[in-house]
Amino acid sequence: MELLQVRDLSFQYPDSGRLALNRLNFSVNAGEFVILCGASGCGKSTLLKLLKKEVAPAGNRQGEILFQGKPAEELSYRESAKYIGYVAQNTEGALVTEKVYSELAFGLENFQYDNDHIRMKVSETAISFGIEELFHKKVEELSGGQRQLVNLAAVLVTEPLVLLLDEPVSKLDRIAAEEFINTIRKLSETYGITIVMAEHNLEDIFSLADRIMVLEDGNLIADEKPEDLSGILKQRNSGTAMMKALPSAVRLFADRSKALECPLNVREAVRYLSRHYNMELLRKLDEDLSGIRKNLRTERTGNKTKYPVGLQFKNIWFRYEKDGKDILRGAGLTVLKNTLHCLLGGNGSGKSTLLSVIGGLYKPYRGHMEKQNVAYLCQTPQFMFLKETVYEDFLDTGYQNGRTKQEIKDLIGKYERRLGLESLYHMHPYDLSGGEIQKAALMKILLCRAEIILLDEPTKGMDAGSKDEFGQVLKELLSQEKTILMVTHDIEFAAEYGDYCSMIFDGEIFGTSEPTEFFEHNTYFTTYTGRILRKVAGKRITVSQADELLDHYEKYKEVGI
Amino acid sequence: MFESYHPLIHVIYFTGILLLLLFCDHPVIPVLWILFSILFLSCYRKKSEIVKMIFGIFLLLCAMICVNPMISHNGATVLFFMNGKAVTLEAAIYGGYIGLLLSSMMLWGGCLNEIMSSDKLIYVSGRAMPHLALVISMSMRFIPLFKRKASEIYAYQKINMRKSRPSYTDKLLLGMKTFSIVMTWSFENALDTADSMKSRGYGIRKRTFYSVYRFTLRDAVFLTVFLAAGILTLLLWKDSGMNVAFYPVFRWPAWNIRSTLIICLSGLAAGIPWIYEVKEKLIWNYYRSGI
Repeated sequence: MELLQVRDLSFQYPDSGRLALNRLNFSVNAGEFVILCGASGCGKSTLLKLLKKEVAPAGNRQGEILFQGKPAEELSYRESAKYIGYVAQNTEGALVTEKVYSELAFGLENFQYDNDHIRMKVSETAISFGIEELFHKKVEELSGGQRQLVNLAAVLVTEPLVLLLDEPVSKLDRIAAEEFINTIRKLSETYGITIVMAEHNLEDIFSLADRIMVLEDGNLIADEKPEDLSGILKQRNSGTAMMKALPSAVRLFADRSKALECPLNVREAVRYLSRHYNMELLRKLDEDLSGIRKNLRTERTGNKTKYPVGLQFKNIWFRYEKDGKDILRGAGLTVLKNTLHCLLGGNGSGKSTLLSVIGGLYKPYRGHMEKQNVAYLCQTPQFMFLKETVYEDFLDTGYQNGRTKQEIKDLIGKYERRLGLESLYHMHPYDLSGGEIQKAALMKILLCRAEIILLDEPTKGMDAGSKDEFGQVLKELLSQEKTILMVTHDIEFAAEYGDYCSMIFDGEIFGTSEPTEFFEHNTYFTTYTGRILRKVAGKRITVSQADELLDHYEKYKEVGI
Repeated sequence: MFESYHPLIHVIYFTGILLLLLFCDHPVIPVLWILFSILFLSCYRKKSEIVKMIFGIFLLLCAMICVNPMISHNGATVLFFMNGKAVTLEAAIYGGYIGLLLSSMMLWGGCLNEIMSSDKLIYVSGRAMPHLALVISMSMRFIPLFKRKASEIYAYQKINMRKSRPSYTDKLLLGMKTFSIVMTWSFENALDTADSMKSRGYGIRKRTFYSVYRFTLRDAVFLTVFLAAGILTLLLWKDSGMNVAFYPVFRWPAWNIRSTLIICLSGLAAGIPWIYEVKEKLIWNYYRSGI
């Protein structure tokens, strides 16, 4: 019997004119790992929340949800709490108590277990999730990734039959996200836990899943095995947006593999490439193509270096406390006007501190930083909003920057479609999803009269489509004499849209070059495409660049032989 | 280490010491306590801090000795007259005694602070009232979170401020803005917390309370010794006539077997943690020398 069965499920929010979910039918068997994907606002979260009675949103629900053959609403609160585990997006809000161990014990205490039982369960869970060192720590001292791990462990401690994860890595940086995904893999593969996970970044998890469900505007448009998904999406016109969310390996080889099995991750793609392609030929063709390209690029670079300097600083030293550690150690950077400069680096490399120093919040103790007129998009865009509705907030920002009402309207009108803002104006900023609020925040930045724009991990939690739109808007901004410095973990975005990339590590900035050169020699710190092609064509780091080479290869084979 | 004892032991110990200090108004008892607590704190804090503390106590004593005679003019032994008022030796001695009591109370607070973490408070209250314990724990989680968010928001708002030299009104407005945003944020966050609690079964039934502490044999030994010494001290103290009289003439209480016993026992009671600490250190060194 299916563990979870959904029949003809429809849902409508009270004040909304359209169905958030439209006649969904699916089931989940014990031990399955199902991924629920789709653009932000497609109903993923709503569906997950409906499956868990305690957090189900209010509204008009039709159809049935059966849990082990029994209607979900007939489950007692105790059964529901015990059998269905739910991990939310907001890691800070989800943790309740002060210490990690009390957080782990929280669920068990609610079920009235005695001390010995709780001790056993809590220690077992802590060991299995590798959070023993955190056991006595305060929740406040944890990093984002550690918090999410504790959050997961605190839910799993009561041994739920099914685990619901609502975009668990959308607020984590890349490294922490990879670690969390590894834990999920372990849960599924070694412990056989049934998992339903909402996620729009499929790169790392695609090949792990048993099934992928794709939601689009509340409709379930696909419910397939990973290897069949791209074929099904191709048949639909609307599937093209979704295609971008698929892993690079699938995007590269889905069409080309034909009768063969399509590779689903980097490992399979590397193997596929070496088995079915002539590597020597690929290398030669890449050189031919790059030769033509090089000429083109020198023309382009020639243009770029002619741009005036937009932001420049040298030898900046900064520490928070007198006796503290240096956070910035002689950092220096030149950012040209009309360029998007991406600053990549790990956690604790001083990325966010650097932006604060540029923004004039702190003064360096050595080196000089002029007070810049900057617009700054911080990591938690909610902090930028003050008014009751998004539109009021736009007006407020505009007035503060000395714009007239008409000017503001024109500016918003210019970008509203591209940023997908039309439906958001009358919503409360806190009701927007992660991707939506980032885009609304960017609109606020556009309303500022600032020459320099600082972005602190703006693509975190955005789906593939939104990222593209975001990148396009940035490009358009660049043509208006702006300078953009962006701190990011998102290598794919930097490769696609960055004009220059620099590495920040241990308080220093170095390696400034164009993305292709920047990523060329990296084995680990590079895009997925770069990892697949690194042995044959290291300069090709985006899917479109790789596509160009593979197309050329196929043409050559057809004509040449 | 005393720290690692069961929280109940800590509660009993510190309450017992407070009772001893309050009931037995004999100058030797605060002096003993001050000595032990400084020794005890020196295991936890830096040398420089301890030196500062001793200096502070000394200053407080001097100040009390000087100030009390100015306020109080009781006492038979007149040292000199100031503004036509008698400055007496007894008042100075009493001032010194009050100074001793004050410093011993401060040290009591310092030791308590070193030993009683929020966990232990939560544990002690959680035994009786699990819900209260949860509320304490939740606020201990929330307060630093609120502070961190407020400073993040302030930083962000300040960077995005268009003026390079903000006036006082600008700063005030900035503060109000920050507060308003952090309140909204907290409210939203609290909703998520409520969801998280509900989905993990909060409110179904009464809760139990989990603690990481266990009452072991050494806790029992400690408790027995401490209670025996403490209760004996209080019993012996009763009707012993050991109370110190300060006015009109300072009279040192009689020195006999009983009073010696009282002082030894109270010293034992106050000093147990320190004795334990030294014992453990010696044992540790002994074991290490064996390796």
